[in-house]
Amino acid sequence: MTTEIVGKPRFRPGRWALHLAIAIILVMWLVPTLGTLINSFRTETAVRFDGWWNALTPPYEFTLESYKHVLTRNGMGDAFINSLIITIPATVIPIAVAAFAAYAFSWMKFPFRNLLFVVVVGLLVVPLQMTFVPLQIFFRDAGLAGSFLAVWLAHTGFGLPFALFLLRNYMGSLPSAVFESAAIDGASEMTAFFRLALPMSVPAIASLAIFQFLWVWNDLLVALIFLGPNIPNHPMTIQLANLVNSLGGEWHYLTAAAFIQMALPVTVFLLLQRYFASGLLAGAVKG
Amino acid sequence: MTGTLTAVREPEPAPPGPQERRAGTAYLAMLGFPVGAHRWYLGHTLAGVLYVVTFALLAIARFALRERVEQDFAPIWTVAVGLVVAQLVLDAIAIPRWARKPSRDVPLPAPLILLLGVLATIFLLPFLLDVLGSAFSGIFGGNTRVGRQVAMMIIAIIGVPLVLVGYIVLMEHTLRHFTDVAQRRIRPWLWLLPALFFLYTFLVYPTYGTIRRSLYNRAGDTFIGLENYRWFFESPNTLTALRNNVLWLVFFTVISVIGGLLVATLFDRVRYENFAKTIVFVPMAISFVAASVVWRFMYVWNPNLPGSKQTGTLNAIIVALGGEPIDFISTRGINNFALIAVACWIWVGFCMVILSAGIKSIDRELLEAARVDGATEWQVFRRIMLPLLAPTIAVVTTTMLIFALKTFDIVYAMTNGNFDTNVIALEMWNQFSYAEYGRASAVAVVLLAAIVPVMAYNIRSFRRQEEVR
Repeated sequence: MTTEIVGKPRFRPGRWALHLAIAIILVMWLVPTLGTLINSFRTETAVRFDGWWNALTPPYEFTLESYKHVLTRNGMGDAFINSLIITIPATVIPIAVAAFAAYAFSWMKFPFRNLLFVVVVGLLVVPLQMTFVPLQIFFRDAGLAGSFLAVWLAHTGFGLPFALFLLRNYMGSLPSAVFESAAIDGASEMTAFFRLALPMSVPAIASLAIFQFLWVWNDLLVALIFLGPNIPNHPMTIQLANLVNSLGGEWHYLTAAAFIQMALPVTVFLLLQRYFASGLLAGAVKG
Repeated sequence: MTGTLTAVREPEPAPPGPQERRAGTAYLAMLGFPVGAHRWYLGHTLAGVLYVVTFALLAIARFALRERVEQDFAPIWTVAVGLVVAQLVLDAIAIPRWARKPSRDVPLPAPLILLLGVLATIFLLPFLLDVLGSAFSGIFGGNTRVGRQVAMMIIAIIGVPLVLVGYIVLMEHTLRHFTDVAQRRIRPWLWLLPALFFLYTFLVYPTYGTIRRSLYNRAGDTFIGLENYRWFFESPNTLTALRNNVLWLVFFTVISVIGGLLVATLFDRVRYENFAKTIVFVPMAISFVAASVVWRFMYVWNPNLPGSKQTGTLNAIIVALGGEPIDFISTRGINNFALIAVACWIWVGFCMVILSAGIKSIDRELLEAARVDGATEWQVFRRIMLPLLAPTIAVVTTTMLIFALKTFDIVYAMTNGNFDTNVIALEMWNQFSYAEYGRASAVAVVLLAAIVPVMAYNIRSFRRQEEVR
């Protein structure tokens, strides 16, 4: 195995330095989260007057008070449901829309196909700020301002270039022999799409779904713009950002609020990391 | 490909039906009216009756339920009517004689199915919403608002894919009336239509609208030329934002790319690589807002008075090493870098994953050969790995540049732009929230202008990559 050749240490002192350097990096990446996590289980006085590291020595005093408080009194419970209501359709809709178009881009021939796809590649990096003013005016006129529908539609539009890019690259790299023989056997384009292209693209769709889910769940800007004035519809990101400013002296509650916000994406991420990484690799425009 | 091959399967034995009907008759038959003689006569009669009845029902319902339906479903109405009209027009006009397949066998009336679907949707939605809504409000402790919203969500996630599939099925159905050549010309556009609609409505048109709006005043009724841009390049606050974005561009990009490269090369040499990578990668799943909260607790600062302890991790370390505690958030000259550090903590994982894949694709024997020839580890890295990684590094760098330009959440959540930490994206949000739409648009255009070179680079490398395919 090739990894064995490299894995075999060549000289010992270098190995120790290597392990030490990696250990330092890992500590740097773990400590911020770990410290806050520990603080979220401590009492107010402990958080205010004592560093989190002191909680690691006896006497151990942990409490769920902060979690109870933010869920019931700071509206994080409602915001959690709002985040779900925003995120699930904003993940499903763009993927559904993109799948058909991606198939057309990869396996149908039509004039301006490449030009159109170049436009999609260009749209990948257009800052969303370019769309806010006209869209806000449009949603206001359509009576959708501050509604979930507005956010779903906006996220669908914004997520579409990446979804198209990823799915088209994946579908386009499927073996063409499969589609040719299907056509010879008399399969229509619809059959080829539903029975071949779609099932074969499941890995790409999975990584796309994780992507879009994390992106929408963690999004602050789009929610602020389109839900800003409608407080009952606020997702957790807005709620959390507001708490940063409004909690004042009680800001130890922030720790619990932050962990409630990250619990779901981090779980999804840890479970499906492989799909996420493969999506990243396929999604980057290669040089 | 498919094009030439479909011709193979097409020649069907001509049905021994009656003589060819005229276009009008065929069309009426397709709608479900009992005209002409064919074998689905009875079915079409029934369908025709249904068609008329549903149209009447639609008219009555539109009148009876007007208030409620218009309030809740005005956009759906528009779309539904648009779809029906489009289908009718397409069927009646858009099949020119040259494109029409001379088939005598008229399939099931597509417009009828569509109409029924639309009607069912419109009639069922309010009731579905009510039923599901009350069911869910029971689950959520009698909260009707949440119950209705959850119901709406479920209808959206099931309904939208269904409608899309229905759209494709119907379009394919309609296409069967066309010749093969016409089918191949029309089909791609029908499949692209939903995506193109969204791209145009939510990205392309607004981009044009924003550029136009940036030349108008606050209310949007007077053309003021470049006045909004003059404001942008003359007011000290926005100039600070511009300067800070330059800081972000340089330091954030350099630190995260080099950091990612360093981490990827180091991790590549140990057995617990996957475990280590996961730990550095996890912040990618954490929202910028939550990361800001996490890092606030790293940056906590207490005045260095006798008896006071530092509760922030970094200041505690500084004091333990005998230094003076630093107020990371509000000390000018430091705070921007404190914010950039948070962003790096998140994005190094991204750079690491992409670069690590690049490293893995390098031929191991090449590196080993160099080592056997007596090259030091540094020489192997500098002379062999780095040149081979150059394209991957370019990808990562462009992504980081774009993020540096668009950075918003971290600044919003940590300082809200105070203490000279403003950035362009935050300034855009500020102007937007003051309803200064002209200025907000101008700020957005400046942001776009800064991104255009990266976009051009991306497009160029995409095209080069396509040529290889």
